[in-house]
Amino acid sequence: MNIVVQKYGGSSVADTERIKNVADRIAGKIREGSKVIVVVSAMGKTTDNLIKLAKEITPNPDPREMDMLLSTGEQVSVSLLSIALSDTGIKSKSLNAFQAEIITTGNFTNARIKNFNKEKILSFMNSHDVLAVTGFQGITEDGELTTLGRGGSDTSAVALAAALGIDCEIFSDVAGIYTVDPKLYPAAKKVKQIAYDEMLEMASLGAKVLHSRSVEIAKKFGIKIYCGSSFNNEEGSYVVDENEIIEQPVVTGMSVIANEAQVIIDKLPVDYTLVKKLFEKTAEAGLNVDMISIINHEQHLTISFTILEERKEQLESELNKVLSELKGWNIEYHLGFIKLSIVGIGMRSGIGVAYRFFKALENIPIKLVTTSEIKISSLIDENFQQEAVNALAKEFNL
Amino acid sequence: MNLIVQKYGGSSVADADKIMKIAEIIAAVKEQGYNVVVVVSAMGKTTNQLIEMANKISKNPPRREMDMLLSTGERVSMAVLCIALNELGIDAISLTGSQSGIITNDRHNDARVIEVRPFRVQDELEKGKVVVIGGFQGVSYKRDITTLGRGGSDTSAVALAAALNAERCEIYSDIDGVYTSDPAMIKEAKHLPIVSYQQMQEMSQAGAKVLNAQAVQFAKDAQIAIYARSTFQPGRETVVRQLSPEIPRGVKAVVYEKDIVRVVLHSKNIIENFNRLAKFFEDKQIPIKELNLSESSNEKSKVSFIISLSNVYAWESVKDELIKIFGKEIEFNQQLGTVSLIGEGLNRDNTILLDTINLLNKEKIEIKGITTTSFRISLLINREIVESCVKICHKKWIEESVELQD
Repeated sequence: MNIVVQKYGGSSVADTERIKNVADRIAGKIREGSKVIVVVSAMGKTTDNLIKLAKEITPNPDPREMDMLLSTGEQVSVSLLSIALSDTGIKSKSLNAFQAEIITTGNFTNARIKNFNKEKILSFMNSHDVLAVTGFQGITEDGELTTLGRGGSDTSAVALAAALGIDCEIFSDVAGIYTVDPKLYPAAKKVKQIAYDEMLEMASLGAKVLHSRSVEIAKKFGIKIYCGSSFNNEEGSYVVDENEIIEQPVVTGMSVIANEAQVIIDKLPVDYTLVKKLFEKTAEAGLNVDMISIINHEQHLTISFTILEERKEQLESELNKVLSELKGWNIEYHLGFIKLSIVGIGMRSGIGVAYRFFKALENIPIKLVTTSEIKISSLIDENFQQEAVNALAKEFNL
Repeated sequence: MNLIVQKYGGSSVADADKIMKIAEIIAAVKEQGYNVVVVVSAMGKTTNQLIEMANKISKNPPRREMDMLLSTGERVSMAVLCIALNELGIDAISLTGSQSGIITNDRHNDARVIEVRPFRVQDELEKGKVVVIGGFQGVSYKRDITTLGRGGSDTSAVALAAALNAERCEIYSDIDGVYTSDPAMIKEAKHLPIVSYQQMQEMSQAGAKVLNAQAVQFAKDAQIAIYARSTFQPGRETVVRQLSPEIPRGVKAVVYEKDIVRVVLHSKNIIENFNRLAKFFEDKQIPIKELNLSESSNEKSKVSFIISLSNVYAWESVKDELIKIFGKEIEFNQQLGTVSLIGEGLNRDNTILLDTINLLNKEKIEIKGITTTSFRISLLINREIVESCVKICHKKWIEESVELQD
């Protein structure tokens, strides 16, 4: 039995016409002699609308109930897709997380897939040509519904493919992975292949193509991910092991995170237990703190880092828990920044990348820079975004 | 601790504000010291919108997939209600039909509750939680999601009340109980403070939407009183319970149903074709309301099936199939409705029936069929004249009848 695992994102199933289009694409695969397991996201803006509904009642809804609420979105789209497939004469069955037995950890709204009941899936496959499986969700061993966090449907699809030991095709409204978000830089090129590690960096640095966890799973199990568009038949991009990549540019891509804030806490006592506590609190609160710098001035410490602007209030309340007893320190928030990063495994062996980076940005004031083996990130005033993107794209031929 | 099961209909949970108000009502009951189980319907017009989407995709949506689709509506409202209860400081948990142990047969779209195994519900109640359950849905022994047909949330509520041995079952909607006719259509309809199980069952089966027929059956079997009330206008209510048999006192209610189709089969080989047609409906899981077999002299006899389309989501494709199988022998009378007079012993003599026929004849209302039972006289007519027919019958038998004055 030749099985293909596909995933379609929310924009690919945004209305009934698009659902029929997806059904036609799947029908094409069936005609080629394959069976298809298709993982589907919620239609269009459904998830956002459900979140809005809950927030009308309270800013802090119970996570278990949020999962009960949000997981309905995918159940709607799998049943509609299955209806569309049946209408074309294809034997299709929709499965929710209970029926597919997608077992996850118990942390609501951000659960992690532990395993799939592979035998069950295969036994359903015996009597059906298509299984339409709800993405983004699972159940705990106690039968509680969970969700996997934003973009979690990618992870559902890749985990399913991994369980079956086959590759995974992910379709959205973008025909693959681009060197730069085409909305920011219309001349961006599509990459044919990108390494897992590059994709992970890109995903965590703001590129919205794939959920990080899905790439981690693909890397762990050595599964290829194909990213393509559900709206045309343009050749997409592959996320693969770096050894499979033949042409390796120094820099593969660039990503931008907008609405970043720089936080500077000055005149703190030289006390690293305090520093530990501070970052412990922000981690517990789920705050994504990046570009950390700590400067020891002998008499005192200056800590600076970045967070998303929208998390400012939450950060303040966490900092208060640690710092309210102390005196003499002060805090500054600088808003209106972007985090601009370039990524490429070629940097490991390439020399002079930092030089080229700074040369391209020589007319732009850079607030902060951090680097890793395969990336350089910089914090820049948002007014310079376009200029910086253009300069770097030109320098690195993106 | 005594347990109350409450059910809130779609209009009671239509938006976040209404859900918040209901949460306050539930919180007040909880504070009186009751254990509370709440059954909710889907928000407002959700179910209709989901059906509409499915129909845009296919004329013949598989029944299993429709249930998968429609059951999401209640999951949304139950989760949001729990979020609202939490906000008020009430510990609450939502459970799907499947999690609450509502086991049904596999007749998708119109499933029957076979058994309720409410272990999880009991566990959560023991922890002091308010348990909010998605109505209208269950799970078959194949682990497929099923739905219980229109008004099925009533059935969920009563079935749970019976299984949990509740003190009572309260059904909340936008109407403060049961009337002699649909108060939205008939201004003169009178409120009924007490209705017997049997009368209610007859009314529901004949199309009254205020309570689901299977729900009344469950309540009757378990001898649980149903209190039908208005969510946002407290005051009057209707209690549905066991009443001692009484002297027949004519027509007690006039109810109607608007989505009726009559399928007529003309054939020489009537028994064989009757069996084929009955089996066809059984396979499609379409419930037959009434059937009629008649023989005539010219060797051609006819059989007619009356079907309500209220739980049939793929009628057009069913019809196409029937035409394929039976060709010219089959005929459809669509766009029909029924008007039913309800009351104990209505067919003891023929006065009511004859008076009604004469009256409608005078008003130029064409009657396409009549059936009578000891509790009901049903008239089959064109759908567009249902309203005027209900008005005439209600005026004659309820408004102008002195007998009903309690």
